[in-house]
Amino acid sequence: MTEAETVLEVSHLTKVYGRDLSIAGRKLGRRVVGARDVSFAVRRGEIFGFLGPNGAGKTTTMRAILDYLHIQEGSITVFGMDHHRDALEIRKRIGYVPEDLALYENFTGDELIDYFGGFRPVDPDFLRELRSVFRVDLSMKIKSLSTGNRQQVGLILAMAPKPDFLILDEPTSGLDPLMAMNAHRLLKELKAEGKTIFLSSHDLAEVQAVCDRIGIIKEGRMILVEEIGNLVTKFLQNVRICFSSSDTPREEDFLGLESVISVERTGEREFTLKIKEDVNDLLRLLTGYWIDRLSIEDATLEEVFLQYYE
Amino acid sequence: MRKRWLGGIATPVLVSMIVPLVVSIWPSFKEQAASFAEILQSPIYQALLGQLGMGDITTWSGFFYMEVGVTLEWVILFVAMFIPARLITSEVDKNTLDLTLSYPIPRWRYLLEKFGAYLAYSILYPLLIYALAVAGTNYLGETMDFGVLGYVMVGTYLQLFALGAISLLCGSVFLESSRTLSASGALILGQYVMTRLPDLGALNFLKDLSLFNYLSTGTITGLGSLPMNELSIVVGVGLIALAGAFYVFHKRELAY
Repeated sequence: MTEAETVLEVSHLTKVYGRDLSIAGRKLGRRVVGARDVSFAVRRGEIFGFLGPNGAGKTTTMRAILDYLHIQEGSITVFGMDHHRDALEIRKRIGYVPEDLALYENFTGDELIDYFGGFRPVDPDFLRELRSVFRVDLSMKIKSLSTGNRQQVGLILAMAPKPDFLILDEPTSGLDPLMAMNAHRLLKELKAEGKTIFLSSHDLAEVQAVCDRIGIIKEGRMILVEEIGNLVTKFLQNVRICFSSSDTPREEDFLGLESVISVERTGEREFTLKIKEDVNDLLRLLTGYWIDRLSIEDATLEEVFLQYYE
Repeated sequence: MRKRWLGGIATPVLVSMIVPLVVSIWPSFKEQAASFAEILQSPIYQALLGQLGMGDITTWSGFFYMEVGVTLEWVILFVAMFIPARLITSEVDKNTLDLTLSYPIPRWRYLLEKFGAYLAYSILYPLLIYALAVAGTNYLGETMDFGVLGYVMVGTYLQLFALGAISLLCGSVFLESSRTLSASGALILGQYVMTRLPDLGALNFLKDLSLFNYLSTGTITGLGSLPMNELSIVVGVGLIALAGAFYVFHKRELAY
């Protein structure tokens, strides 16, 4: 991948909070791993979904990219620039919606756009479009807006300058389905213009609707980076096997195969298996038995995610 | 802070109302000033007033500096202790720092603008008190050296600057309200208490570490000018604390 194609490159990122500290057997401090050896890249013009259970390291990674956190190991480059040394240059080209977005309560939406527009100028035409798409009254003070409306103001602030790179930490949380759909449309519009979006979300439907690729992080480690289209076919399949006789493999035999994730006995001679990546070792096992019926189906995207979340 | 200008102005206006109050008391106080002067010689009042009790309260300017000087010390104490300490921590508490710092603003500039707003509001205290003191003196038909009054106000402002910078430094270091306020309280209130303690014997040198000992109303009115050595100490401490606050805030990670 050339530098021109890569907008974000995270390489062996490790971030650990605190340290183990105990005096006279009493624990005073604890070491918490935020991210360990995390590597991935986000290409220009794509929407990259960043997924993982709560506390997996998503926000840590995002805050490290923004240079809010000091990383212990690894490197992060954005537009080929070092995230720490060139932080100000990078910030001229990004838009950010933090998790648990908080805005200045005594400002109106319009005042916030003016205020932050002084640091990163807005695109007036796109701002007009954003105003028409999001149905939030920007003349109202933030303190009198609902959570969903505040989130809309946050999205307007992040998108209005039409930044080259958007970092969105759960951007549609609190939005009603219609507004979330509008936000997705806008993200796709920005993507079509060559903008890059790095988005964290727990909403699998959202991820499926907008993302080109996803990365899944779990317990601080990146466990998967894949094109969303490949996920279902490549990564998880549901297999149902009905044997002709009571001579069947034992559950342990299935679980002994590398590709088998789980086994459920659904009848006297029937099993349902979840397998990942490759069915060949399963088929090899089955050659010694008489089979009545065998079906292999793609798992749903939700099943794929849950598989990695668990 | 930009949006809280009314609150920022209201407090100095309220505090400066001490001047009309002192002006209204003076005509009746003047009659009994001599007996009050004797009472003020007691050790309790000396401890309470510190270096402010040096003036002659039988004169208008002596009475004014005693009353207004005490008020100004309390203003310096509380304004410097609480406001700069909250400049960053209030943003951390409300979680607004994350969004703001994602914009291309150097952290030192962000901090400087916030501290600049504090300094702008703080200047209202000496300005309003000076203006009302001039008006009050003319109204009473009394005399007062307005040049010395100006020096006292400059001293007050510089103390607000230096102690405020220390408080800001605490905010940069801790980024968390309760610990920041504890630290700034310990450092600033500690300095104030130090000047009020009786003779500490071998530990008397600690009193020299208190900024409240420098550019005090008593010293300035006694000298009739600004003591330049004290001025350089106060400004120096303030600049070092401010530079420290910028450095720490620039370098530290925002893990909260």
